[in-house]
Amino acid sequence: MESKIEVVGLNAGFGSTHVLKNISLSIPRNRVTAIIGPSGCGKSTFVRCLNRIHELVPGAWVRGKVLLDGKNIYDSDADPVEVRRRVGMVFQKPNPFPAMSIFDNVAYGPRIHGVKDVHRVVEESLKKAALWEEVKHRLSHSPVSLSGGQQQRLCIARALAVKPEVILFDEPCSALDPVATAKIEELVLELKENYTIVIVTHNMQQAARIADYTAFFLMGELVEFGETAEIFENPRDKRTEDYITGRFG
Amino acid sequence: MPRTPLERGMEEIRSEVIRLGGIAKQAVLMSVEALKERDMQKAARVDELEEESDILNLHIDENSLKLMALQQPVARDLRFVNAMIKISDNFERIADLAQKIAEIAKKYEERELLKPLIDIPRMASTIAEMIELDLEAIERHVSPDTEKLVEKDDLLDELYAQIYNELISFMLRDPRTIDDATDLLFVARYLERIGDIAAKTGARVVYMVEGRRVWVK
Repeated sequence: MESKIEVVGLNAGFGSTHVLKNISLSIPRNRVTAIIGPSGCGKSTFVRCLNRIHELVPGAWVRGKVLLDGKNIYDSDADPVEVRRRVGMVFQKPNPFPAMSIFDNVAYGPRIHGVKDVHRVVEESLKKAALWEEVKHRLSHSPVSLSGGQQQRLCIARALAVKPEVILFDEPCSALDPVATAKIEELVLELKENYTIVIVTHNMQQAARIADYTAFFLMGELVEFGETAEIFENPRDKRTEDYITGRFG
Repeated sequence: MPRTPLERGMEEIRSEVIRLGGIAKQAVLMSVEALKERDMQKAARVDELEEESDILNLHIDENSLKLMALQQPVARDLRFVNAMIKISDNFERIADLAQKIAEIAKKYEERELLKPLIDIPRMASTIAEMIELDLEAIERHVSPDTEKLVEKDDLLDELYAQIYNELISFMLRDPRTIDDATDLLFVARYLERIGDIAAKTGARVVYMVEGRRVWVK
């Protein structure tokens, strides 16, 4: 298993609150890694440290290393904007820019990065996000007219448009119905051919269905990390077992 | 803490599997008694037990599938449901083999057996002890004493070898005994096979409880 991201001794928090405690973890390249754990365990903070958006919150701090292809993204010479281009993110609630057209939502990133052939990039990204056929005749429409699932796929297309290497999903299906969820899951499985995926989820079955590897976080600590099938059939740590079987606490 | 639907469903399956194990054990003992005593009523009773085991096994299978579909068990719960499906099949298979013994017993309603049965009833009682070890472990949700299971399975293998040699010598001495000797040889073979299944059941209980693979053989 070749790792895309190597997290070494990561600590993070807000002011005097210590959220992540000494996390070390290898995220395999071209695989789906799920992060599970109860609310407040630090899952979201963890993924937000992987593309340096945690630090955008006032009072937030990070210590430790996050090596992306061997290079620490927290080195003083690392460019956070470039890190965020390489490590894209899709959030819990679909958040397309409401005042922009469908086309401009996807074109926004490439334009900022000075890409010339924006039309081609937009079409490619919408195709990769399995949305092209549904929107190709209404690219100038507002994204507000799309369903929740379509909006989420638009956000995925927007993330893909800047040609990232890693995509972080923070509970991407929690606001979607089962049909839209199935489409996103199918898409994630297709995307792992070309991208490294990290997905935070509260849905145990979703983690079991789509992740190759699963990490269980509890109170800011990494309790267990391993192949998903192993975690769900025969977890090594009793706390993991108690959580996934719903006997927690 | 009140029990969840998953826990209630699991307990129901557990008690059905224990009941099925009891039926399998009774079928083995009764089939050998039917043969030994040439008791056709007992042979007929084995048929009934086999039918009961089929119905119960099917019911356990349906309940387990329903539980997986609706409650999505994972980790120890998943291992439990999976083990119950397999063990239920094992017990049903034991009842099938017992019925084959009862079929042989039915051939002897009007005639004597080749020889008085000593080792074959011993095999049956050893099997009953093995099934009891399995059932107690399932009931208490602990690993069975695998050393004891291995010991008893070894004893069954020895008894089978002994019976085999004895019957072969009968056949060599007098070819007219071939038909009757083959019947008893089959009975011993079925019992030896049942012992293997009871041992494998114990190994499955270990995996269910501890998540550790063991081979009881």
